Amino acid sequence: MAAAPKIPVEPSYRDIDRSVLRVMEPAGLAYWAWIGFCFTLVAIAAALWVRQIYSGLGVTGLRQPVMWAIYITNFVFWVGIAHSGTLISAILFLFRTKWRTAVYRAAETMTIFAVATAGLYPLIHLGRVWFFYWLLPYPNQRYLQPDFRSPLVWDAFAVSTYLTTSALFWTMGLIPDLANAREAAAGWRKKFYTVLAMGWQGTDRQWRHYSMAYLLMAGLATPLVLSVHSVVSWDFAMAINPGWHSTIFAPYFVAGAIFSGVAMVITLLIPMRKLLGIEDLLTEWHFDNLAKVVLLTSLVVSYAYLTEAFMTWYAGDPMEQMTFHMRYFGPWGWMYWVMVLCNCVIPLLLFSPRIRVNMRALWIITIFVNIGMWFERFVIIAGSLTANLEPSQWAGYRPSITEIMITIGSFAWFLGLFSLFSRFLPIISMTELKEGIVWLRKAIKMDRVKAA
Amino acid sequence: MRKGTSISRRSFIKLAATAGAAAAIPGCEPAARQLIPYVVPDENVVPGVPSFFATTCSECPAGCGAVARIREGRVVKLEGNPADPIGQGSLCARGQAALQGLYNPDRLARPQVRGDDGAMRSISWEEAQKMLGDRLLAASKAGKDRVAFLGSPQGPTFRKIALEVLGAYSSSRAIFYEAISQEAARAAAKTIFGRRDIPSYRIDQAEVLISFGADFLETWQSPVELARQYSLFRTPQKRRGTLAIGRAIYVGPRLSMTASKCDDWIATAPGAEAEIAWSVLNVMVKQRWVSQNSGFDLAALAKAVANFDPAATSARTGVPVETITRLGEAFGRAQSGLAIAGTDDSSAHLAAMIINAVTGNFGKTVMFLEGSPAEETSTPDEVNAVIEAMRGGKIDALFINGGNPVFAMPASARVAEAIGKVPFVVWAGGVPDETAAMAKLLLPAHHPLESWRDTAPRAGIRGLGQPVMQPVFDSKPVGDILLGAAAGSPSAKLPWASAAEAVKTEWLALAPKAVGADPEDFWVSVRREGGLFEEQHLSATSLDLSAFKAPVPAAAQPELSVYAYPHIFLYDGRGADKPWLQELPEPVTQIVWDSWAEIHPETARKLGVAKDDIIEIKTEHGAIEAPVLVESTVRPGVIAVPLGQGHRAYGRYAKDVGANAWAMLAAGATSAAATARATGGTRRLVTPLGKSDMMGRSIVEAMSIEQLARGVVPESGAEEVSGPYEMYPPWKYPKHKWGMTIDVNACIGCSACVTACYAENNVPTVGKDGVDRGRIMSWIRIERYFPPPKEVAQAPQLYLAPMLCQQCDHAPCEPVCPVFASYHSEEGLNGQVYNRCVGTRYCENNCPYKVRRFNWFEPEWPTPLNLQLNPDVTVRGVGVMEKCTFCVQRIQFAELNARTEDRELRDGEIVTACQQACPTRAITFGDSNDPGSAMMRRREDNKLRNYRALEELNTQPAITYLRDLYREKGGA
Amino acid sequence: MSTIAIRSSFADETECARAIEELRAAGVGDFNTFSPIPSHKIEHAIGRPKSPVRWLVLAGGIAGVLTGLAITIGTTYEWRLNAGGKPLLSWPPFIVICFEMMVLLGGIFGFLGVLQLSGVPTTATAPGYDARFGEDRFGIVVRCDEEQAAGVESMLKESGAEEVSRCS
Repeated sequence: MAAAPKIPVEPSYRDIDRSVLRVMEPAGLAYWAWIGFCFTLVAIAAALWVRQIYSGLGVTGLRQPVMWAIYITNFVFWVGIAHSGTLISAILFLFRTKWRTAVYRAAETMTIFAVATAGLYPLIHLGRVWFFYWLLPYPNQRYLQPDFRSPLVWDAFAVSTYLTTSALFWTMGLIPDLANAREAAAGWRKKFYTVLAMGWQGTDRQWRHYSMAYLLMAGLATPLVLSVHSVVSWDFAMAINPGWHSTIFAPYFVAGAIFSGVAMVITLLIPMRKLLGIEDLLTEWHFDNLAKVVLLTSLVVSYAYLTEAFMTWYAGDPMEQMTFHMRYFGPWGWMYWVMVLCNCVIPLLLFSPRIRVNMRALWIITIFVNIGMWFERFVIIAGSLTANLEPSQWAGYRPSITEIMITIGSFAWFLGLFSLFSRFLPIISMTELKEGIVWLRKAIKMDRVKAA
Repeated sequence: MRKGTSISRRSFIKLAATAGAAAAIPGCEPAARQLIPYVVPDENVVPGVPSFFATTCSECPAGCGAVARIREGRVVKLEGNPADPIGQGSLCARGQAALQGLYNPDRLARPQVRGDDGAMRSISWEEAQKMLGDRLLAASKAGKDRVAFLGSPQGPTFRKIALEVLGAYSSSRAIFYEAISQEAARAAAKTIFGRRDIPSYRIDQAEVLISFGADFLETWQSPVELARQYSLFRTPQKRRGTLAIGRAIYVGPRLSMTASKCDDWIATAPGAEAEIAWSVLNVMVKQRWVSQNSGFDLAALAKAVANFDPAATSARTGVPVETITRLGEAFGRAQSGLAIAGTDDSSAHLAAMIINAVTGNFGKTVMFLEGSPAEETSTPDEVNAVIEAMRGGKIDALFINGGNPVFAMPASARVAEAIGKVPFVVWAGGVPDETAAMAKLLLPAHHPLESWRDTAPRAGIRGLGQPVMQPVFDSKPVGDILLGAAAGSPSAKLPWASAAEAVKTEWLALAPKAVGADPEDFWVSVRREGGLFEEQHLSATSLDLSAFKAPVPAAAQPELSVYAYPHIFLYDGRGADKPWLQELPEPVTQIVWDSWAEIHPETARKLGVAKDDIIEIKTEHGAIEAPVLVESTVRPGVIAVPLGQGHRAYGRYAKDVGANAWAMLAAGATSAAATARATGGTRRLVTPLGKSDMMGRSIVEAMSIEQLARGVVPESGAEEVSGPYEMYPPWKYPKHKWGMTIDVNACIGCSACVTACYAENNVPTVGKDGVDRGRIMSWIRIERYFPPPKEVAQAPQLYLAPMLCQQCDHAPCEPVCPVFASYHSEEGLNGQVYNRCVGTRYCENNCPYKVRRFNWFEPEWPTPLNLQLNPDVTVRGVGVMEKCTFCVQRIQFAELNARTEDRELRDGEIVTACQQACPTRAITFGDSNDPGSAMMRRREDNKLRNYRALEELNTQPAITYLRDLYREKGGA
Repeated sequence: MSTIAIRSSFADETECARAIEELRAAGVGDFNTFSPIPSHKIEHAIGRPKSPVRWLVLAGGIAGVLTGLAITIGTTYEWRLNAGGKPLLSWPPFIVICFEMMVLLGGIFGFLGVLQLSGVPTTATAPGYDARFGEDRFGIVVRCDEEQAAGVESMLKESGAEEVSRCS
C-alpha cells in the first residue's frame, strides 16, 4: 500500500472519507501472507481439537484436582478483552466522550472477534462436546432441561446475548459507512458493499430512526457489559473453593476486563495505524485518553488484589488463608508476582504524560498488561484448584502441547479475523468522525504543532 | 425414577451381550462363539438374577471361605463366605482380586511346546498329554526318584493326587513350596512343645498385644480373621470399671500398616525383635509378673534370659531401657496378653511363645488345637534335597505347578540353575511366569475358581472349593493333567480318574457315619456351605524344655541392613499380575505400580540421596535397584523393600515393574546386611497422594480413649459448627434417606473396600502413567495423613480412613451442574446420571472431598477382563464424570425384592460393596429415617465420637465418621 | 401539468437546515433530504416527532423478561429436581437469565425496528440521490409543480445551495 498522503491540518469530510476508504483498497502480498500464517496456526489447533474430541480430554494436562486450567483461563481472558469494545462504543457514547469516535469501530470489532474466540473455549473444554446443546433449554421428550441455578448456564446466556447484541450494535454503526464504501468501490467490491449497505442512502427518515435506535442500544449494551463479566466471575464466586468463593469477584473481574480490554485495543491500534497509514486520524490525543483508562482500571485492579488479601486475613478462615499462602508463596508464587508486576507496577508509568503519548512505550506496557491479566486468571482458576480443601488431593498441573497449541491457535484466529476485517470494512467510523470533526481537527493540529 | 429406568436399559444391553459371552465360554471352537438365546434356559442361569456359589479363596495359605456371585454364567464378584469361621464373610483385597487372575488376559490359552530354537509352538491337548506321559514314563524307567513335582500347596486332596502320581512314576520327590513360610514358628513350637503345628490366636481375648514383627493385619498368617479380632480388641469396653481399649505394641524395623494401628511402634533393627522379646521376658520374670503355675522353672528361666537384662539389651539394640520395662510391665500386669512373632528367626517365635506360656495365656489367647491338619508345605530340608537332586542331574522330568520358584525362591537357593539341569521341565499354570520361561512344555491349568479343590487351614475347618464357572480358556485341572499322564504308566493303580472324583471321594469319607445318613445329602450340604466347619477342640499342651537352649544375644547389628517384607497386596509376588492390586496405594507409603527403598531421613543423609534417587542395594546374595522413599516410617540404618514386584514375566501388568527383593535374600530370611550406593539415576515413585499434612482440617479425626472415658469431646482443629444451618426450608425425604457410619477406629486401611468397589462398580484401572497424571479412578480411597510433629505425642501414629462420596444434602457438586447430571434423589442419594453428563467437570472442582472421577479416556478391559464387569452397573464412557452412589444398584435390587415380596425393606438388607468387604466391620449402611437401623444406632451408641468430614462447610454429609481412638502417651 | 424534482446540494449543514425551514415556511412540503451524518439541525428543521423505535425496544425488553421467567420457572416445574437442597424457585439465578433475555430481545427488536422503519434493506434509490450526499454534501430534493419550480430554485439558491438542478 502506497505511503499515506498527509491529511490536511483542517481535514474536510472528503479528506476523512479518502483516508479511511484508501485502507480498503486491494491488499498486497505481505498482508495475505500474514493472513495465511494466522489461519495455518488455526488449522493446526483445529486438528488438535479434533484429536482431543476423538480420544478424550486425557490429551490435555488436566488432572485431579485441577479440572479447569488453560482452557477456562483463555475463556475468561478473551471475554475480558471483549469488554473494552462495548465500553468505548456504548458507555463512552452515552457520556458523549469526544475521543471515542476514531477508535470505537476498531474496539467494537475487537469485541466481536474476542467473544467469538472466547465462545469456543467452553466447547473445547467439554468432555462430551457433541452434547453441548444440552446447556440450552429446548423441548424434549425426556423432560430434561438445563439447571438455571448453574453459573455455567448463566454463562451460556450471557455470552451468547453479548455476542448477538454487540454484533447488532456494530452492524448498525457500519451501515452508513458501508454506503460510502459502496459509492467509492468498483467491480465486485461495489456489489459486495452494495449488498452490505442494504441500500442505505442517509435520508432524514433513515437518520431519524437510526439515531434513536443507536442511543437505545447503547443504553442496553451498557448494563450488559457489566453483567457479562460479573456472570463469568460467578462461575468461580459461586463455588466453595477457597480462592474462588468471594463476593468481590464481580466488580473485580469487570475492572480487570476493561483493564485488559483497553490495553488490547492499544496493543492493536498502535501497529494498525502505522500499517494502514491512518496515523493522522488516530492521534496522540486518542491514545492519551485510552492510556488514562488503562491507568485508572489498573489502580482499581490493584485495589482489588489488596482487598482480596485483606479479606482473607480478616475473615480468618484457615483454609482460605492456606490457599492464598500457596498463591503468594507456593510453587506457582512467581506467577502471582509476575501478575502484580504487570498489572500493578508497570502501568504506573502511565502517570507520566510523556509515556502516555510515546507509542513504543505505550505498546510495550499494554503487552505487559495483557500478559499480567492472563496470569491473573490462570492463578485464580488453576492455582486455587491446586490448593483445595482436601490436602491429600493437592497436586500441580502442567499444560500439554494440545492446550498450548490450541491457545496459540485462538490468538491466531483472533488476529486473523481482525486483520481480515481491517482491510475489508471501514476500520474507522467515517460518519462519526465527520460528526466530531471539530475535535478531530483540534487533535490533528496538536500533533502537527508537536511534530514541527 | 428416570435414572432407574436408564440403568435398567443399560443392564438389558449388557445382558444381551453377556448372554452371548456365557454361551461362548464353555466351548473354544469358533462355532460356539455365537449369541445363543436361552431357548431352554439352564435353571442356574436366570438372566438378570445372580446366583451364588460357595467356594474357597486360594490366594494365600489363610484359606478363607468365599462366595462367588454369578451372572449369566460368569463370576462377577468374590465375597467372603459368612459360614466360614476364618473370613467370617469378608475377603481381603488379594482374595477379591482373584477374579483378575481368573480373567487375566495373559493367561496361557492353549498347550505350548518350546522348540529347540526356543520359540513356542501351540499343540493340541492330545499331543501335550502324550508328550507328558511319555517323558514321565521314560524318566521313571531310568530309575527311582527321577521324576519330581514342584509347586504350591493346593490342599490335602491335591497333595494326595500329586503323591499318587509321583508314586506311579516310582518317585517321592515332591516340593510344596510357600515363599513366605511358617518354618520359624513351627521350629519354635517344636522346641518347647514338641509339636510343629501352628497355634490359633484370639487377639480379642487379650488386653495387651505385642507383635514382634508380625504384620498380622496385612500378610501374617490369617489377616482377615486377625483383623476382625483386632477390631474387637480395640473396641472400647469397660475393663475394671473404666472404658478401655486393648493395648497393642509393635516391635519391628518398619511402621507397617499394622504397626500404625498399634499404640506404640518400637523401632528395632531387623533381627533385633528376638532380643527385645527375651529382654521383655527377662523383665517379667525378674519382676515376677508371671503366673506361678505355668509349668516353668522360673529360676531356670531367669538364668536362661539373664543375658537379656534391659540395660544390656538396650545397649545392643538402642531401644531405651524404660521402653523395655514398660513393655514387660504392660504385658505382665495385664489379665490376659498375647505375644506373637512374625520374623524370620525362630528365636523371636520361641520368646513370644514362652512369654505367652509363662503368663498362663496358653489356652486363653493362644491355643493349640486337637487334630491340626498335616503340614502342607515342605520343610526347607525337603526343598533343598530336591533342588540339590536337580542340580546333581538326578531328576529327568520336573512338573512345576505354581510357587514360581525362579522368582520367589531366595537367591541363595540358586534354583534357576538347578532347574536348568533338568532335561524335561513341564509347567502348568495360568499366566506364564519366570519359571514357565524355563519349561519345555507349557500347559494351561484351571484357575482355582474353575476347579475342584479343598483346603484344611486349621483343625476343624475344611474348605471345599468348587468350580464356580466354565473355564475361560482351553485349560484343564492340574489334577486331571497329572492323572491323565499317570494313567499311561503301567505301574499305575490310581484310585481316581479325575481331580473332581478325588475331591468327592475324599469328602465323602468325611460324611457322618450315622445309620441312614445319605452321603449325597452331606455332599450337597458341604457344597452349599462351602466346606465343613466343626467344633474346635483345645489340645493339651505340655511344656518340654529338654530341647530348649538358653538364647544367645544376636551378633552386633550391621551398619546398614535391608528388610524385605511381603507387600500387603502383592504378597510374595503372586498378586503382581492383577491391575487392581498394582493400582491400590500401599496404605503407609501410598505408592502404586512400583517397588521402593524406604529409608529414614538420617539414612538418606548418610547415603547422600533424596526421594526418587535410585540406589543399588547389595547383599552377599545379590543386588537390586530401587528408587528411594525418605520417610521416618522406618528405623535409621534400615532399608525397607517390599517383596512381590520385579517380575520379568508374569503378564503385562507384572512385567518389568519394580525390583525383585527375593533376589538378595538368603533362604528363610527376610533381612540381610547390606550396602547401598546411589546409582545416579532417578525414577519418580508414583502416588495419588498429595499432601500428608491434614493442616488441622476435620477430615480424619481422633480422640484419646482417656477423653472418651472422661466423656469429653475433643475440640477439633476446625472452627466450631453450631448444628446444620439451613438457609431454605429443608427438603423432605419421606421414604428412605440413606446414610453411612464409618468407624475410623475400626478401619485399618487394608483397602478391601477399595477393591470391592473396583469389582462392584466396574471402576477401570489407569496404569502407572495414568496415576502419575492424576487420573486414578477409585471411587473410594484410603486417606493417609501423618500427625503434625507437634501433635505426635497425642495422636494416632497414622490417620487412616476411607474417603468416598459423602452424599451431602447440600451437595456443592449438584447446583453447579448445568444439565442436572448431578442431582439429589428422593432417597437422599447424590445421583450422577452418566449419560446426561456433558463433562464440564465443574462438580469435581466444587467437591470439597475430591471424590469424583472423570473419564479422561475411554476405559479399557483387555479381553477377557471385560467378562468380570458387573452387568448391573453402567460402564462409563469417555468424557463423563463418575462417583460413588452408595451402590445404588444394590439398593434398587433390594427395593425391587421387597416390592415383589410386598413387604417393607428390612434394615441390613442392603449391603454396599465396601461394607460387605470390610474385615473389621468399620462401615455400616442404613436408613437415617429409621432411628432403629444399625447404622443410626451405631451413631447413637458412639455419640462422643461422631464427626463429619469438613463439617464447617455445612455440606451436611450423609456419612458420619466415628473418631479414631488413641492412647494418650504416658498413659498406662 | 407534471411534477418535477429539484435537487440542491449544500456544503454546510446549517445552510441546508435554513433552506428546509424556508421551504416549510413557503409551504413546499414535499421534499426529501440526504446527509452524510445524522444531523440534529436538519432533523430539528424538519421537525418530525421522536422515532417510534423506542416503543419497539421497550416491547422487546418486556418480551425478554417474560421469556426469561417462562423458561426458568417453566423448566423447573416441568421436572422438580433437587439440586444441592436449593429451593425450586431460586430467584437470584432466574433474575440473571431474565436480564440477559431482556437485553437480547430488546436489542433484536431495536435493530429490526430500525431496518423496518427506515425502509432498508431496499434496492430502490430515492429520486435525486447522489453519491456526494454520502460523502460531504447535504442534499435537498424538492418535488413540486412546474410553475412552483422557479420559486423553489431561487429560494434554494438564496439559502446557499452550491448547485440547483432539475432531475426527473
